[in-house]
Amino acid sequence: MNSFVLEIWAEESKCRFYTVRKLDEEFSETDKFFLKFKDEPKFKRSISELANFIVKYIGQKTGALSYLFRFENKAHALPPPSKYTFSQLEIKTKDFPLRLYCLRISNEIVILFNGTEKNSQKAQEGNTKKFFEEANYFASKIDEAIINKEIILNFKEGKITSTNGGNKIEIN
Amino acid sequence: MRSKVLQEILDDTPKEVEIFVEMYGDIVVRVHELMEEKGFSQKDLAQSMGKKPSEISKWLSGNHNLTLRSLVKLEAELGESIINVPSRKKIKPLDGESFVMTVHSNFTSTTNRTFEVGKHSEKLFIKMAN
Repeated sequence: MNSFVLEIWAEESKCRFYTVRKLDEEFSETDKFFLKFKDEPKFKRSISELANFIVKYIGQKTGALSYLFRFENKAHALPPPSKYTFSQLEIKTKDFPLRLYCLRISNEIVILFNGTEKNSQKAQEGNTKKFFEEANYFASKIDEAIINKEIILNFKEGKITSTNGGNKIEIN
Repeated sequence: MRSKVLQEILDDTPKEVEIFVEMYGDIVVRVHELMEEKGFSQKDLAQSMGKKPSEISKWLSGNHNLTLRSLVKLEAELGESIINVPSRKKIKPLDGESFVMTVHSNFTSTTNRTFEVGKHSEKLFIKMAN
């Protein structure tokens, strides 16, 4: 898979959202997701709810609380999980037609990927398979970059920075 | 800073979607916090309410509308308010014109209080007394 860069997608008071953009592409993965569905009548309302949930709720009100995300192997996804791990409380979101994959790093830092319409029981099947696998690939590469100290997480400021000090955060 | 695509979607959002998202998020967070605080599991809550755990799940889903009855049952079981409906109360200050105040109360844990209302240096002050 191609190298990619991490870019800021939305800077809000409680959380900074990053996205990934493949080096040879114009749009980030998250913009591609929203562009794909925003004008489709079937998904217009869901897209609007998801964008507002990310920005207005997580970004400006609560921060990225862990229970507002679902676990998807090494990555995460929105909307909120079908099961709270600590309390066994199940919040079924199977009727919400879309999944947006991401990596929640802390309450202040989230990296959003791409997603699609959910049309199967498991994320590893149906439409979501490709995006689930890609999200896990991105998450693994980002994990490696953190372990190898190629990128630095600044939890206090809710920022990701490049070790070389440059603004461009490239992951190979 | 925001992506242009995101900003376009936010600018195009109807007010009712904004309200829905905030209320949905608040209910999920509120129920989650209360269950954690009180050591309830989904199973415990379902048992005490005579419901199947899956029904509690549906109640907390953004696609299954919580009825007023369901919310009230959840409030009763958890012993705390989940949503508050403000009341309007006309108040006559000791030294000024009467005004209307919006009052938020928690039905399950409110205690009676007396409020003394007056004006001080153009600013309204409210003194609370037990």
